[in-house]
Amino acid sequence: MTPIRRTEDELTRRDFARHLARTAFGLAFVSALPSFLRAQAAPSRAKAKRVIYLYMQGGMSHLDTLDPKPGREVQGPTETVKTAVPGVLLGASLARTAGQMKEIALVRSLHSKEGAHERARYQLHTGYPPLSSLLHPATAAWVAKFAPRLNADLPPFVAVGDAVAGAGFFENTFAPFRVGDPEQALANVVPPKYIPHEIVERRIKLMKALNEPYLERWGRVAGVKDYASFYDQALALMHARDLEAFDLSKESDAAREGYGKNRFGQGCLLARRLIERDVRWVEVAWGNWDTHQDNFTSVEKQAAILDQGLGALLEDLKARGLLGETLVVLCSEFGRTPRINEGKGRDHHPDCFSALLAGGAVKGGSVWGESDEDGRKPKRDPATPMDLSATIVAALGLDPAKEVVSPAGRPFLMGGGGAPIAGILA
Amino acid sequence: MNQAAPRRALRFLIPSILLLAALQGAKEQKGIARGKPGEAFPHQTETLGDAWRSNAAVDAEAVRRGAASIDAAVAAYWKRLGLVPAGAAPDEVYLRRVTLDLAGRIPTAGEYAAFLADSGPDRRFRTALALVRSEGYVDHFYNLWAGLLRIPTANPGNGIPNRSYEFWVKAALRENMPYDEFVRRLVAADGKASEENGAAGFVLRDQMQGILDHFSQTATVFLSSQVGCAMCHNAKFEPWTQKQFYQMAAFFSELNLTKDPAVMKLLREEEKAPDKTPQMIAEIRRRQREEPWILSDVRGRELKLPANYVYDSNEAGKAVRPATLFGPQVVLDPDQPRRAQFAQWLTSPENPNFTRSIANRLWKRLIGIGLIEPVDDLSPDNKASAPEVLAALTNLMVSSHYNLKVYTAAIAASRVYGLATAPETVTWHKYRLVSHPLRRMSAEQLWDSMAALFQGEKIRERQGGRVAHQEAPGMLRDQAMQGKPIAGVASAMESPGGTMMIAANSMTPMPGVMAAGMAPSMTMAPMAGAGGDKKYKGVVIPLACELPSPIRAGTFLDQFGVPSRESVSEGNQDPSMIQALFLMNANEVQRLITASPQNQLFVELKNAPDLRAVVRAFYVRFFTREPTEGEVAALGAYAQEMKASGGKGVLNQDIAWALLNQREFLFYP
Repeated sequence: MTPIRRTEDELTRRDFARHLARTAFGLAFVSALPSFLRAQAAPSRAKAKRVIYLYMQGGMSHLDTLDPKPGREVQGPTETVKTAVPGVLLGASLARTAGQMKEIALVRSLHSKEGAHERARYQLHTGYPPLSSLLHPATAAWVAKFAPRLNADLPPFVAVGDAVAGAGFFENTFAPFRVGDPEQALANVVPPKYIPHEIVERRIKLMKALNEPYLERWGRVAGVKDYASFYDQALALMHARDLEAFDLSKESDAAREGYGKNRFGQGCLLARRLIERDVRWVEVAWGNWDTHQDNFTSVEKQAAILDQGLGALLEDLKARGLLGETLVVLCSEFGRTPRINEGKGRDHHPDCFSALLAGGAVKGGSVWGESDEDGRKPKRDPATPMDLSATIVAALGLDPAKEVVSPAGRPFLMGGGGAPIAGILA
Repeated sequence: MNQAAPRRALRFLIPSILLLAALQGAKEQKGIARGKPGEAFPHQTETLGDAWRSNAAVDAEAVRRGAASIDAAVAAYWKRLGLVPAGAAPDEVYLRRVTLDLAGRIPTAGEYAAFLADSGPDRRFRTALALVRSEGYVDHFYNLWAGLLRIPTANPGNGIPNRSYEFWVKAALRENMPYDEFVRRLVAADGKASEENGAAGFVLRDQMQGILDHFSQTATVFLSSQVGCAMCHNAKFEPWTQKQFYQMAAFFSELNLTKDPAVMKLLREEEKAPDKTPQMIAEIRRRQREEPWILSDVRGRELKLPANYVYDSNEAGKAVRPATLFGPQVVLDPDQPRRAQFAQWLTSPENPNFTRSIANRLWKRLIGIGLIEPVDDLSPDNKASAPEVLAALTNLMVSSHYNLKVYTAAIAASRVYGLATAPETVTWHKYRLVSHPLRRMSAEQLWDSMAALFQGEKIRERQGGRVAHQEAPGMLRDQAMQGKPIAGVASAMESPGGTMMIAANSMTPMPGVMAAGMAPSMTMAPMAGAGGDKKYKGVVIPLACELPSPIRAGTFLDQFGVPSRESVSEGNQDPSMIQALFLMNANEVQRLITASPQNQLFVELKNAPDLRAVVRAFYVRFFTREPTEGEVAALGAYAQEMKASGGKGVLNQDIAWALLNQREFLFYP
């Protein structure tokens, strides 16, 4: 299916309407607009072709990373660092990222109602709170389904680390290709090197021949049918030339060291190799940011790894001329409480948190929204995880209001009913 | 090798551990059993004490009566809707089905032969009965509960005494603890979190989550209630308000976790003692995090509504009194811990969703489709497809005193369970109980079935987390600390990090033996050289119920949908391309199709006189049936062709690989 692109005229009119709404009637009015109206305000000057989605597991403390509050008691021992954009500060551990601020847009006014990990990360990834009755597709699965495939052989959606959401009620074709360890991305998925090619091919032929009578009898059963097509896809992938994209040993030692010799750094490097070969969406899920205890030690340690990986990724993408067409997103399921608890930790805080976007389609150096003096609540321009999903979708030139009816007859939108944050899109 | 002596010693040891557990249990139970049940709470739940231990034997007559009551209800349902059921499934199909559903793996060649040779009456009934009495039952149903209770075992050091929790649940299943007793002991777990008091793991599992989440999980698992939505706001699709959620959660407000200073002191002293290796110190530190916990209740401690409570600003931040949302109202007894009173209410047969939840869950575990779907949502709008059948099942659950083995065996022995399979997609909306659905094996069934192929008849001895329950955790650890290999558990096994030795049941890394799921940096160099002569030194493959969990993302079990142990889950059977890649290429598959002295699949072929015999042996083991003439011919032709083209490779490996990749292996009718 082709992405829906709006004409320049339509866009201008809608942008104007949105602008008018914001200035004339204030934010409350915009938020109260039915989502289909808000979603129509999607900008169309999309530049991103692909997404690298860096998901920080467990709820990353916004106060100690993307939205510091220097001088406030809630800040604790965390220090800040100046960025390339005057007046914008980050947590001190993110120094390298801070140097890239001109490529970066921050959202500092995210908020949601979901304060439990599973629910919150599900919502972040799908644009919907979990329902017991159905599984929603991940935003990445929507993109995999509705954006044309750029590389016929490689899977459109690769998830490094624990994938939170998959195809949902979509066909499993749009489920992530999961990689546990980026350094062993092809372990278990290609034949061991010691088995000669001809033996592999011979076996495949035998397998297919023996399976035929079974398919004749049971092929109408949905699951059996699905596996038939997945075996076909799997065989195609096993023979694909671009498979080497998964092989980090093709990189120089310097490059590998540069990203950080850890799961996150190597995950970012793998992501770069994959989007270079036009995989649409690579997620790298990493970390344990659930810092109920010893928040400051733990955040400092993890943020250093994050900073190295993210910094190297942005620099590398830029050097290769890929940053303009790639949208890099850094997000987490919620923030952490301004209050520092007895164990020097911070607890779950969905009332206010932050995200970072960089690269294609993003207005570099911008900050959307603002939290109050202690990072407790959004003070200006609040945005939801659904708005974030819609923003990514819009940045790819897709329509966040694209609707699909689930098998049970309920309508769902690609952008989760959120409105793109136009202010940070170029 | 004389293994009898230690085994006898262990046989003595187990009862003493269980006795300790029982004494501990009896202590815990006092608070619940002694208290008056309350006027609005007419059902007096008896304290079974040790009486239920006789349950482990499983009374055949009770199973027979149970199956008959299910048959009657299903027949009434068919009659009401004018339905005609399919005929009975062929015997070998039934054997494969019932073995997978009760023991979590495919039958061995020996079981297949014995079943077909048995010409006595009630062959199916007796098979079902034997299976619920077997150790395979413990494995298979532990996998269910481990997913629902989110029992984490891979991460010692997270403050949860995981292993004792695991052992406790396995023991409860093995001993067939009545389900209501099981739930009461978990929910109202009290006292020191010693190795004997594994039930404390239920509370300790949620120590980071807080009581709201703890209550929410409790309601999901035992009541199939999605009350959790009301944690943050009035639920949209269910009748619960946020205030009501808090009223229910208030039963947990007294829960108090402290650490026993005496135990802490002892452990600190032990840490300081001389001649400690870093491993031993790490182990002591782990124990410091996990063992000193004391669970208690601070009487009268209240839960407060959130400060941002939006529905009535007068109530924001105020204390909420405990109250139940449905079922009989609890008259609060200030002399009793609230949790114990909640547990009593929760498990009362007057609380309809308690019984329906477990009855429906286990029905789905065997039939494949719940009478109510999804099984963890019994909201009032979610109606049963066959209400009379659900009624019979809840009756059976109550009348058997929540005897899970009797209940499960009764379903397996019922007529509806034994029906032939329809070759079509069956959804809840379409399912009328007139045939059996075709099902994909769960991740654990697939794993354990591959283990069964590899280990042949020995799999029967292996099941039941035998090593785990025969050796007390402390003993196991002591051996590990001394660097001694533990007989029978060291095993070859691959992970994305490379080949490594693992001890399926060990808690600590030890020389030459490491736990699966560890960082790749800790893995040993691959043991095998390149080539078809790849050798696997290990003795046995760990079963799914023995592997440290959560299973690492991207590994075999994870790819096939094993529960995350993070959210309440029974796992999923969704297909994916990567599963196909794994079945063709994964290390586990290479191990299984490669001849080695440990690989019984190939050892048992040694005496096969010709290709026909090989093919038959393979088909019986992989598919629980005889090969057709067409299949024998096809493989004969393949062998010819291979010979003609120079004969590179090993024929039997090719056949094993091709059979493992048949959909007939992955799906069971």
